Amino acid sequence: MSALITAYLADAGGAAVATILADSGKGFDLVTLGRNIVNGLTFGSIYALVALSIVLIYKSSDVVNFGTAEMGMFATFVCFSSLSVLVGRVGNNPLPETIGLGNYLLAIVATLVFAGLLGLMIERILLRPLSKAPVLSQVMVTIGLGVFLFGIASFIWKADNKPFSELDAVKSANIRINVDNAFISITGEMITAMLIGAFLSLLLYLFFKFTLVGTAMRAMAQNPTTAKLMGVNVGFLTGLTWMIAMMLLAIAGVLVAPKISLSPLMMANVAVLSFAGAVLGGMTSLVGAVVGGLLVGIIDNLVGFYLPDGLRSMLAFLIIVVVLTFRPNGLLGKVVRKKV
Amino acid sequence: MNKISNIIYDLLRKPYIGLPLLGIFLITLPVTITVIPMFQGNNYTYSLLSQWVILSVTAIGLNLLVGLTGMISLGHSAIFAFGGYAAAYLVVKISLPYPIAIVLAAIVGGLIGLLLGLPALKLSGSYLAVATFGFAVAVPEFLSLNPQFNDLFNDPNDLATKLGVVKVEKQYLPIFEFTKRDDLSRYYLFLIIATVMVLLAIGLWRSRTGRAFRAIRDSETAAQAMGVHIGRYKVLAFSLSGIFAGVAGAMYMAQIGQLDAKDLQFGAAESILFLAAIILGGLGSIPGAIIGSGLLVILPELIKSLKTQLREMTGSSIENFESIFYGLIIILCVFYMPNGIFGALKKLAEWMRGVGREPMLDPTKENNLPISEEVINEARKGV
Repeated sequence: MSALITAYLADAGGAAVATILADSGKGFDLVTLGRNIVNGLTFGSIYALVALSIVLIYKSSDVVNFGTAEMGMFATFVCFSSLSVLVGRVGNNPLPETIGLGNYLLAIVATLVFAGLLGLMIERILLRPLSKAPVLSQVMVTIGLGVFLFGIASFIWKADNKPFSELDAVKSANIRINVDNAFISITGEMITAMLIGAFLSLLLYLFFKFTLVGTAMRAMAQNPTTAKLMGVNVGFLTGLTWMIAMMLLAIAGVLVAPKISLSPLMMANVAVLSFAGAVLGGMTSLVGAVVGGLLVGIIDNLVGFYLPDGLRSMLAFLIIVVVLTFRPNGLLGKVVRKKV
Repeated sequence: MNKISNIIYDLLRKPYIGLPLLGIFLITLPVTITVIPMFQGNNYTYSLLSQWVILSVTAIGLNLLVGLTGMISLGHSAIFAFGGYAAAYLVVKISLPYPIAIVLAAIVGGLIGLLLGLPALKLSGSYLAVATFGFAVAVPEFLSLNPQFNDLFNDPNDLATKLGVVKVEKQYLPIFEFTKRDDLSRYYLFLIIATVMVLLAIGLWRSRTGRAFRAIRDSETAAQAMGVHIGRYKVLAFSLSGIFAGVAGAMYMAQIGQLDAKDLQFGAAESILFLAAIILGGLGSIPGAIIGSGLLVILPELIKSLKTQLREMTGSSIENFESIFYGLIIILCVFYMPNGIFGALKKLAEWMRGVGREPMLDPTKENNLPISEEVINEARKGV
């Protein structure tokens, strides 16, 4: 099979790719490809959640949230602390490897409440007074808040790497798909990430499509002034959007933490790739953010596996620059014309 | 009162008075700083001063871009890294004298800035920030993930190369004999380089190009209508700004003596520090960039004692503690000092001179002229 594909690649003018593959000593067969795609979809689901948060904030307050990584990281640490309290391990002691469903749900609810409040506070205190300020001020405030939260998190929880517990039911789950006498294993973690990503995306889609509040939010994103005239409470809805965005970040953080251990720098890489996902999706489209996040996840895994290491680190930047230069509205974004 | 405020005002507004004074201040600083008990006249203090000079040069360059032209760049740490690596390559491998290496590093910085500026032709505001941010993240990762890159600089069997570090032996920098050893003479060397850069910046600020940059910042459409070629000037601003970052990178190389891609100085966080420096000091002003950089360099020293106390209290090391203050400074400046410290000083001086205040009218006189100072003084005495 792999020989077939390599031959096909060589035939189809993919000689260069085939050579690289042969050089790197990594075989090209359906199983490794499948494993990479599954892995990519897992991380892609997380990128999609973060990209959704970035796009929601961009649409509602016209700000690119450069504190995305730190805000998500902070919420995850809050989840860590609530788990510690629930399990009865106070201080900076490591958590057990797995934790039961009841405690986990309680901790996540606490985290979501915290994330919602954080989002509301950021919008009310920091960004609303700056709604008429230049872009630089708004960008700097999100950066400043990120740096601040980073310092606070390092101070409270220390800057070292900590393991993060998993849900016990998730840990034991495992699916194997047999292909070509080998198997692609899908662990419980992967299933959870994909299911939660899909579920939340669907939920948001239904919310924006069918509920009154969602419709009002769409109206607000299109034209705040007209929406206000139609009786939409723009201030309240902007706050609500920030709450939703922060909750998405918190969930993404909790999904990321067991995979790469918990630390103040945990979300940095995730956030950069999610930016790429959001840009790929067009920055203004929620469906685009999900598609972009998933695509970036898959591309990142494939590039990381098949191509030299250096390329992977440049990937986010390359995606951002190429998309912004040749298709500034991304795959699904709307064309915005600036008026004088 | 009026005389003092006049002097302050002149200092702030007229560079031909302020700059020589600043120069004298900086030259005597290594001596005068020993008065403050916190800083002894040791090499560490001098290296802090050098850091200030390096950060100032970058901040001035970034101010040219952000403050003057109104474009956001989060990618300057990457240009800074390129400048450092270029200078190291030229000094170590080609054995060029350091001054020539600096000039070439400036050119490299300018070219990288030009490349980074190309997206600016199509992007603005947040989008530009996202793109340059991606660049800042990509470059150090690329360098640290490709250790073979360091073979360009060192013997591959060297320990430093295995650790992924480029070592620049101090003996490779013997142009001014004195730079070999002590930090004090290195500070003076940097001061000379920085003076050249500052003079260049002043020239730029006042030139036709500088005015074009300002026009673009205030309104692109209006600037275009006045005949400013927007695209050309935007890329030019990025490129000029890159020159400053490249020079600063070359200075950093000489200061530290080794380059490590995992070094925080080359990470995206450093770009944020550069931005914090100009926001704290004052957007669009050269003295502002210098003041802001100085404060940011001193800040970790100021909170050192607080840190030790906290360490004793909690019993564990405190990392990234400065970040709390950097974050607070950025947020507070955006809210309460949008023109930075330099802007605030300028406003204060203007207020002291009475600029912008309504003249008081004398109700006792028929022609209603403004009240003379004597009348006011008499009124104060209670006559």
